[in-house]
Amino acid sequence: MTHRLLKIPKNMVVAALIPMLLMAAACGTAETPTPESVAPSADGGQTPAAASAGEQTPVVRIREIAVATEIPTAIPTPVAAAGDTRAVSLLNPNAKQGGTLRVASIADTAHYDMMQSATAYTAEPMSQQYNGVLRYNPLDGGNSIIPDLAEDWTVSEDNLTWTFPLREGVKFHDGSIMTSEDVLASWSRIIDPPEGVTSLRQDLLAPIVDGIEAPDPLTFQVRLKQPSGFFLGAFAVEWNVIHPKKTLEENNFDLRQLKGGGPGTGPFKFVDFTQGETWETERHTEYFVDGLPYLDGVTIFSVQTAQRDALCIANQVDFCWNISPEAVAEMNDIPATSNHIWQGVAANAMWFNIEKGAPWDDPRVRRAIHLITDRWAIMEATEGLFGKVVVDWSPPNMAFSPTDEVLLTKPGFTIDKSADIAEAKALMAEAGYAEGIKDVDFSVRGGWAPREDVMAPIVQEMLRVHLNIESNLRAPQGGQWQEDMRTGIFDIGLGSIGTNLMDPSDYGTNFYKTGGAQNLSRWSNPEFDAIMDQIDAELDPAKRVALWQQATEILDREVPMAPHHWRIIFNAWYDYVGGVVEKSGCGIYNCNRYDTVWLDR
Amino acid sequence: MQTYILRRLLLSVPAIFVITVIIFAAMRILPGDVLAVMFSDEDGFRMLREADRERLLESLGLNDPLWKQYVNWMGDVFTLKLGESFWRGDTVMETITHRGPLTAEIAILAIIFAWIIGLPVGILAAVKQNSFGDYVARFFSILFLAIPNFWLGTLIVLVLLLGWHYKAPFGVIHIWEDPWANLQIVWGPALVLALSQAAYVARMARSTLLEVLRDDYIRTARAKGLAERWVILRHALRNAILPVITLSGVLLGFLLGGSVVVEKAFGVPGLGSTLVVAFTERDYVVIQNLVLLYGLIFVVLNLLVDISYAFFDPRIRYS
Repeated sequence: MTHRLLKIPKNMVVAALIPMLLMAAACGTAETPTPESVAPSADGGQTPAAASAGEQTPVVRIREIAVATEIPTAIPTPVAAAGDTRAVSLLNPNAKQGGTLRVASIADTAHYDMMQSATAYTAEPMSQQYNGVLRYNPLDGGNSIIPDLAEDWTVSEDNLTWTFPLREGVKFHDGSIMTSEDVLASWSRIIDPPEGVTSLRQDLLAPIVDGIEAPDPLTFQVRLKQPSGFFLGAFAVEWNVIHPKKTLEENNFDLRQLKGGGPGTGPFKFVDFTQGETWETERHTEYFVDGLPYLDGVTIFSVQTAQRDALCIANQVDFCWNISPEAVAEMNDIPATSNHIWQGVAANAMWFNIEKGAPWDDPRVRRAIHLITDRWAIMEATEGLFGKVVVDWSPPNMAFSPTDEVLLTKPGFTIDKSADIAEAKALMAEAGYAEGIKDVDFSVRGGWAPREDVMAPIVQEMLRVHLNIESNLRAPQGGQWQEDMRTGIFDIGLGSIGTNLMDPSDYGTNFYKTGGAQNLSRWSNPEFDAIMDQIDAELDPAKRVALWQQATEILDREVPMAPHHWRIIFNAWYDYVGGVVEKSGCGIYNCNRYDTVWLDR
Repeated sequence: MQTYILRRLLLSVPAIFVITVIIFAAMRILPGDVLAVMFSDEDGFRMLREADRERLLESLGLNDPLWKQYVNWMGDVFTLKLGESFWRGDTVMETITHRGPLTAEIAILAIIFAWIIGLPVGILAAVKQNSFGDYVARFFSILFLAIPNFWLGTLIVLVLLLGWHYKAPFGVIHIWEDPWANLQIVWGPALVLALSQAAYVARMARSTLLEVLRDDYIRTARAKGLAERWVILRHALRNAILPVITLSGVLLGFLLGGSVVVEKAFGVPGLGSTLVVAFTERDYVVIQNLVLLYGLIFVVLNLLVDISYAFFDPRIRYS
């Protein structure tokens, strides 16, 4: 399957090309990577699994990485494979102690309360300071769940009561001992936040949780209203961190203005943060896992994409998060560097203002637009700008998402668009819009380094050419696009939305269900909602997949939004960094703790 | 003189007041939503429930009547607190004292570079009027006036990065902490800003020098046998330089404005970058105070330039 490949751009972008040519003429050191220079080597590519083992990795070409990534691995929703993941050791015998890891990433959090944040700007710097009761296993890319502050867990026969025995003697950064009272206080805030505090993941868990309690200082229990197929996955998400009860009470359960977020039990403790500069942490010497963390500290340079690229190439950092494909290509020319792809968490998609009425409330019009949208052409045209793969209604490479073979046969996702276009025209005629639609307000999210605003003119032209839909394109910035989406000032919107959890109970609910926090089209379908309720309650993974397939049939027909691509994240690092893991099951909001990373310089 | 300074200071009060009203009103008219930005990142966003949204707006003071928001801001200004950022709660005064020196250094260095480059070029072009050297000087003056400085900055960054894998150190490093690292941070933005300012300086120096060189006292100086070098440097230049000083004062103000985009191009976290980020984040408190600061600097610079006339030209007296 070649369609998901992220090709090296044939040329660097114009801005980069000029100085490169100058330099090539001047000193012959800067060569533009050509497709030939990045072709897969005969011995194949380094797999993410090998990288996760922390071995010294050879220089890996972006195309090889893409090949490795496109293998349809069908990742299941993380589940507790009874007994076999609970005693997993995170220690690596090859690891070395010491040194401060320099990371080019983002840390300009709006405030210091993880529970009240939904962005990587908060998760990236702060996750290393805390633990949850459970966590996603960093050694298998987050595809299983392991205990964190818990020693283990058990579930009652009726699948309603989950019991988590906690580790004894775990210390917060202020020296106090963690008990079930701290866990209870932290989880009470998540499930039922006090007045004035916003719990952004409350919607996911509160409807299924009947109660939480701490029967003794080292036991925490959760009672569910109904059995749940996603509870453990949602419970273990890295956002759900444990704070000292004392800190929460002292701050009225609102930690937004508490610089650094207050003490946690995590492998690193907060030292300092300067907006637009650095987030610094140091090793928590009394961390409860003997031997971890390996590093003395972590310094995150909080910078946007172009600066991340520059810091990475200049080796002013050791590990670079979410750099551009051009920077990856440049890094390939630097010896002893490696790179890989993390599973993104966001979909680029197009929404329709259904509440505005005709024509957007007509599923035939929405489906027609969905059908003529040539995802592969958009991907080809914007290659090199940012990483993406074509998807339908789920993140790629999940048990819930179709294989490439299936996807390519689905209307709207085919490469040969002739049949799709013919069907789209017929649908438009049937809906009474054979002559097209005029004066469409097409709002695209602007302001982020080239993303949707680059795609939008391509989509606009597809609409005009195939369906005679004439639109006025605008790219509001500074939160105005989001505000337009919230208040319904648009006909068609193009932007992106993200998910915390790689499970349809999260993204299916948020993206498509009636009243979903990211259901920007305000689509509502009782049949779909009923299936979602069944998915939430179903425990058998195979049955959940089957139910989701039923749900996607409705989505195919009704098209509440037109998904384009799923974002993927390019990372690169110098080979003296060990223990860097891929995150196929985590997404970018999870597995950010750096406790298993080491330096070998 | 003191009366003059006092009168000028009093006259600047209405100007400052108008600046505060304009920037305050502009921030409220400008489309955008701070909460939407807060709950977004490069990969998506989440719509807040209406109750949460109202609560957060309340906590940021954005539900207060506009007059109250303005009065609160003025209270912060007069107590020199300058308010707290919507994001993270940093005080704007802390940001200014932390990052301001870097921006000021870039602006001052840019003026020095502009004089070092522009003045000799202007003198040469005037003395050798209509020569090949004059044409070359005028060509480059126009060229650097025409080139957008953010483009030139980006070009320099890319050449150094892709050619030599070099990038100036990241972060705010003050000159008293590490002079060498500090110089690496500021030279690039200062040079880029200086090149266009040098073009102004060169053109102004050339035209005023040409005018002065035709005056009688220059002819007299030459007639009494003074070397041409001394005629230019001690007699002509001294009188010709006054408009250049005036221009430099105004340019220093523009340099602060120009540094907004150039700092961004070089990735220097000065006040210019802070302002850009604040606009992106719709952080009204930071924007209002930084624009007010820039306005104040403009007013003070204009006053200093006017006062400097008397220092450089004894014929000028203020009453």
